[in-house]
Amino acid sequence: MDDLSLLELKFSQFWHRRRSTIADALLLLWSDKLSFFSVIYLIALVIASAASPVWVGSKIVKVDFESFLQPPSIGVNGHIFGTDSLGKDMFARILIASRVSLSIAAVVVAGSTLLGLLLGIIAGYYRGFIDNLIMRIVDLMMAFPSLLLVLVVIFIAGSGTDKVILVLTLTGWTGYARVARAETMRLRELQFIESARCIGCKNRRILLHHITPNLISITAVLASLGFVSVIMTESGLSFLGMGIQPPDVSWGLLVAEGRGQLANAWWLAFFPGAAILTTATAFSLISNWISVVVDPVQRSRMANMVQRSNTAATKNVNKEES
Amino acid sequence: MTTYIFRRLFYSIFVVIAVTILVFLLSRLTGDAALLYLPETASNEMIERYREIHGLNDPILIQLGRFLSNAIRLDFGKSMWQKVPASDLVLQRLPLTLELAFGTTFLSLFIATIIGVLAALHPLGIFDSLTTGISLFGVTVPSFWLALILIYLFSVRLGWLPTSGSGTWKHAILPMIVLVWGPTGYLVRVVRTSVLEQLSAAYLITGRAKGLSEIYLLFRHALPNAAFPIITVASSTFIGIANGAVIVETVFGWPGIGKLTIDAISNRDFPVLQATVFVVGIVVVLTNLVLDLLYAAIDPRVRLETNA
Repeated sequence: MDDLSLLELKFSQFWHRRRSTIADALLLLWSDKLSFFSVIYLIALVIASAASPVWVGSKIVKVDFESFLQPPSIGVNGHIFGTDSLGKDMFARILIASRVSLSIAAVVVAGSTLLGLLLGIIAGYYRGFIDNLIMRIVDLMMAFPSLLLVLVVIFIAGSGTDKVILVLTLTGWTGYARVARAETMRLRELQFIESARCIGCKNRRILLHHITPNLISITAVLASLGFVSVIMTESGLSFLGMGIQPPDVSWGLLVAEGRGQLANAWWLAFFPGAAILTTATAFSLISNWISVVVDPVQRSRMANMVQRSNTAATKNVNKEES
Repeated sequence: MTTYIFRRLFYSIFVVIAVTILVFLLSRLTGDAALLYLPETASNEMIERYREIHGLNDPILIQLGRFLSNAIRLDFGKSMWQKVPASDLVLQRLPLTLELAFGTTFLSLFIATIIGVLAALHPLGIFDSLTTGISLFGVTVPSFWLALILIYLFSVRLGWLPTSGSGTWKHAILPMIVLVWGPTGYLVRVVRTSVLEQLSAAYLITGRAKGLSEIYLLFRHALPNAAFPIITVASSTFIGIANGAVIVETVFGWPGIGKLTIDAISNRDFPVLQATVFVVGIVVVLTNLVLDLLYAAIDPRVRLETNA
């Protein structure tokens, strides 16, 4: 190895050490084009849905009988997703509906993640009676079809946005709890926990500062997949008329509305459903990237690999050119 | 073996009892139970009388005991909407749903095994990408949306198939496609992974060294050993449809358990909903039992363990 390449190696090692977490994450994102476009899509969707009342809100307020049930068309006065039976622009309606669909998904995922983590960690760390109790509840809920359980609760409690959030949270935590418990049981036998206990850490400190941070990586992956399942369940419930109730709108509700006019206006049901499909797909695609990014060890290793292959590729290109 | 079956049955019955108690508690603790059983238009006197007759003023434990003993006899009261015993209604709809469940499970097993095995045999090949695609879109395509698109294409535009109902084999095609879609996506990945695992096992190299053909190795050795996780997932597919085909049955007007559930909810027919939960619970338990027996039939080690 000559001096120059040694210097290069030293430099690259230095460079690797200095690279920030965010830079690593972005580098990995760029190297995985599917995740990259998913993230761009989701960011655009969140911004558009947040801005939708100002941006397109006016288009769905007024009823326009002149242009009812227009098929999709492009142009200055065109409606890219067509119009509904009251002449309202479907693109605007879908964006407005995305506010409900996305915020329900976010709240439910956050709620069930927290609940599942909490119960799973307690079960896995303390074991014994409390573990048995929690896990039997999990078994019971997993053994039984969740949609039927959700429907029973909705029958008794009634439907509506707040009820949907509550029901989906209460039935959604079991998966997180199971994983959190298994991980906690593995972690608590490891040496660093033992050391922490030896130097006098209280249980609370061990749980908060030693166990929980180690669960973040796996929980983040589960949560991004959780988004998919909540979006699907909520839209399914709303489609059946058991979820979000008018005047609120969600994507599932829009599809249900379009169902009656399927024969003469296919775009009414098609585009809201396509919105569900693309959003769920995007969440499912970024789960891979998240799993690498939130794990510090994997992140730097993968980022180094990507960079090395990039440098190798540029070197090859240079060689071919010269 | 018989002891094993009985022990398994004994445990699973607890699940059914627990779910039944859960439904009971939900109905009693979240408000006035009489309102759940009576139409919304019921007058105060009617509600009072209903409470008297059905003992809703008794202590809750006595009510629970009565509820459970009725449940064992499949007596959940009369449907408020059709005026026939609720459990009759459920049992009458059950075969139609089971038809869908069996059909879907075997069809998706068949498709997933073919694609999954091909993907495992040629990693990074075209079937491998197909597997990734199917498993992604299996989860993210909303079933009600797929159903509507199929109805639009094949019933409205082309007019080949009926839009809804049941009776002939033509009615079953579209619901079946929609139901097969999701589970196949999941199953195909499981098949690929578990077959891939077996393909790198030492016993296959031995077999190859003996001069056995690849086809023989695959069907006689790799697939049976890979069957465990595949059957597990397939059985959860079956359970899922046996009670969760709510959306598909509603869209296609298929008069099974799922449609019954939705109708019961929109008609505020609580006895029917209760009977559904109970019957479905039993189906779940039986499926799990059959699954365990299948395990034992496939793998001699399981049999040995249970006998010991």
